[in-house]
Amino acid sequence: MAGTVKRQGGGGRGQTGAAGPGRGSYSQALKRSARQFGNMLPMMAGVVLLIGLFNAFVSREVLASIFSGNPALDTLRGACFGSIVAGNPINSYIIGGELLEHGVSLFAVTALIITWVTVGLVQLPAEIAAMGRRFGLVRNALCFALSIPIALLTVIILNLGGGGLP
Amino acid sequence: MNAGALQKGKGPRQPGRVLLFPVIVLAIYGILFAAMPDKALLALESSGKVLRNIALPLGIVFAVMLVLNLFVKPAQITKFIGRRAGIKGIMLSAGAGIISAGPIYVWYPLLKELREKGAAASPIAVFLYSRAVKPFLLPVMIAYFGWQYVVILTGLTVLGAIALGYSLGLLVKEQDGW
Repeated sequence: MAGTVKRQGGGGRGQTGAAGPGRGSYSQALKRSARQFGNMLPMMAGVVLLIGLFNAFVSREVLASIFSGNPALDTLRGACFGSIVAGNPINSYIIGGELLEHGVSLFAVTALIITWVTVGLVQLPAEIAAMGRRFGLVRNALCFALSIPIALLTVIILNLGGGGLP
Repeated sequence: MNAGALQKGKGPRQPGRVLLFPVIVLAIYGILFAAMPDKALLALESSGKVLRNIALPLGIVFAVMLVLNLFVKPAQITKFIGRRAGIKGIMLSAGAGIISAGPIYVWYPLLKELREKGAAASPIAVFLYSRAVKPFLLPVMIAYFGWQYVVILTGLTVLGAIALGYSLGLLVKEQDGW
């Protein structure tokens, strides 16, 4: 536990007595939070600017053209595509709905929706900076791999239950 | 615990390395402004829109970090979401992930802070994966895909988060800075 003890050091920041934190503790906590937050800001700014580039250069028509009609391949492509893009999940529902209208399989759309939120290649540099290289790479790889069986199971269970899309 | 590994994981990053990624992105913008100013402006406007959308979640994250720094001690973090927290820690992380708002990268500073205070890799992975369940967006999702689809996908996503937590716990160990 040496490491834990070491972490707790640093001038007793965040230490609370029976009467709660004093003014000095507030000031220290504020400074510490600002520093931690500020350290991540350049990386976050890079991610936001990269998302802007993606939005400007990749249209919805381009996205629909990625899919071929082969359900197995399209599921993989959906997962790849969802991993690359980033943004509000609501966009993945809208794009998913449009792809379904273009005849793309529900397997592919489901894989896209899952990886849209769980895998993030655009923000991977920021994740590595915050959580470490191994965590970032392993987590994203596992999330990508997991998206395929979850997509398959979702659609299979839906079909077995006799359910369908509205 | 491996103190050396912890120090390695916690050690200050070189400013150059941290700035490399944003500098590369800025360089791309610089080239684009020279070659395709209209597209570059469009990308910049889109980034501004993203920034406006994340302003509130960023404020929430900062507030949570402040509260953590004020009231929560590393020992408490270790107890609730540390290596020995078990299924309670996993469920707590899944619940927190489900109710968390904003893009994933907004939460990195907070997760980094939790990591430095003793959180294990598994609960953090569970938190990040559970964010795929968006309670506030469920009505929109149901409108597009139907409630049966949403119920199945949501259930499998939560199970997937737990499976991910255990798998990642096996693959990312203390010697990797945890």
